[in-house]
Amino acid sequence: MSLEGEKLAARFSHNCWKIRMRGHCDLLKDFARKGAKRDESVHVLKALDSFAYYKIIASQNNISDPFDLRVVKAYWFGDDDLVRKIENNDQVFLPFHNYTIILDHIHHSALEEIDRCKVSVAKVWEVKESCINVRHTAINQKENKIIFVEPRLDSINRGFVDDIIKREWIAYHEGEAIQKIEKEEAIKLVNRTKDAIKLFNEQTASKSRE
Amino acid sequence: MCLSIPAKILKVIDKKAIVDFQGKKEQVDTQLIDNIKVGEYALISNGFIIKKIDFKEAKEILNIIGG
Repeated sequence: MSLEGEKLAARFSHNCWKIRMRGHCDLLKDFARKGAKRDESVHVLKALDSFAYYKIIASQNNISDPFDLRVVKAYWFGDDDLVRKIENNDQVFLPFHNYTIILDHIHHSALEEIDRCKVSVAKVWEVKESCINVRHTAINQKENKIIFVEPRLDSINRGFVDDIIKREWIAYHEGEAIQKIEKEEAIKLVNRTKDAIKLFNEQTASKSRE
Repeated sequence: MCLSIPAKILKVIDKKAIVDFQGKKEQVDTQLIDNIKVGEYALISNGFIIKKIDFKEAKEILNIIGG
């Protein structure tokens, strides 16, 4: 089993609603930081929806461990090789977080919640003791379409990123910094998110024509 | 956030199933999951079943999203 994959899964999931409701935030945070209480943490991670997506990606790519780091990264950041579409007559399934959250939540969640839940990347604007200021690119809805809006200054918690300086790039989720990221990787994630939004908009348009 | 929507399986036909999805009957794809049975609950993502869950978990999620 991949400890690094499990720890990355814990970083992303430690503050999701199921974990908050069941009081496991600190358990997963400690596991993500120090590898503490691994068995208990993995048991909790396996109960999350994200584990279903890891299993699908692993199965599509003949990877035996759903917590393989490549698999976990592929779900949260997207991956041009490992993440593949599955289509039936009128629907497209794509095991990529920024696609599934828009599709599955658009009808019952506020757009701000969906935006916080998407994995975002940004160049660091300012580093403060307890937070990092970034130029955040949010999503919005216009005439039934999801669009990116102009970036605005936003503050996120330092989360798992201790050593960061201005102009470096970070990935963040639910208002918490997850990790530093190379600019090239950040651009790839933005492009994958744009592709996911395009796919969503095409499907919405196709359904409204029916 | 980060939660998928539960549905109850009403009928299974080949690689498709009819489910009760937030009060509406919908056809979903079962190709990602084996051995789906009538009466079970599952999480749905854009028309695909991604995971079987028990009644307790389904109820918990539906309470959260107001379903």
